[in-house]
Amino acid sequence: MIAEALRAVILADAEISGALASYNFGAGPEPAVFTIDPIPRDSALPAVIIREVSGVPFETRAQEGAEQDVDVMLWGNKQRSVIALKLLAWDLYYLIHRCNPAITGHREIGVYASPPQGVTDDEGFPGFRVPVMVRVLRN
Amino acid sequence: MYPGFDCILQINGAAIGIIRDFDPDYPAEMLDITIRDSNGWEENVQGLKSWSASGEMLWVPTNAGLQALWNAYVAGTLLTVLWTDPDGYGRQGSARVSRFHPGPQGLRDALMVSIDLEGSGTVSVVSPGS
Repeated sequence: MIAEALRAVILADAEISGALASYNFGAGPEPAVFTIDPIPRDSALPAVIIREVSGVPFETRAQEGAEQDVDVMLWGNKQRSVIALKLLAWDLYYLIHRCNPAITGHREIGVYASPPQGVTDDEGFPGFRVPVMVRVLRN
Repeated sequence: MYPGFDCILQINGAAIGIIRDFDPDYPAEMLDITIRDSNGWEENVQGLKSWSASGEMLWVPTNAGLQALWNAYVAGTLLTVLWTDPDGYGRQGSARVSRFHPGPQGLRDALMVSIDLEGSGTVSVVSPGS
């Protein structure tokens, strides 16, 4: 739900989504922005993976909600420069921080991203993690 | 035993759904009547009773309850304050708003309003069907 909403925010930015690899989700090629992990093996890089990792309740007496922690992971190609990937990660951070995603059945009360953190996986692929906290209340 | 989120707060008959925390308090003044014949123990009698409450709610400026609290703060008028548990047991009294605090407006926080109420007059016990 929240991951899907952030995915829509990223896809709506032509500059960022245009810098990602393409993947055919079944309806033709689209920017490689996934809400599942691991991503399909046949996906090219760079790709974005959005994972809801943890959260706590946020609510009033009449409305339930949550503060959901989300990891927006940007993975790059081993053969390419990390510099361009880092710049893309910062663009992602500025796009997501304080954005206003449309979340089905909920009202968003703040989206807070933290600056990108460099990561590598076991196979040496370079990546950046943008931690995000999304606060929502059910309608 | 009840969770706090199942308790109900009403201001002037209307439920306040945007409330998060609500903390009513009923202290009584204790008057010292200790004398030399008190055998080394303090003695007291109850003096005046009072009550107060504090609460925190989400800032929703269109909410009728929040508007009523602000209007009562500005005009200094009495509000009817009723809180009950889910089964309908609680307390009812009249109070004035002694503090209306829309903040702190923290950069990373949801905007909240804190309110303090000062009771005026008798508090009545509320039970189901009363």
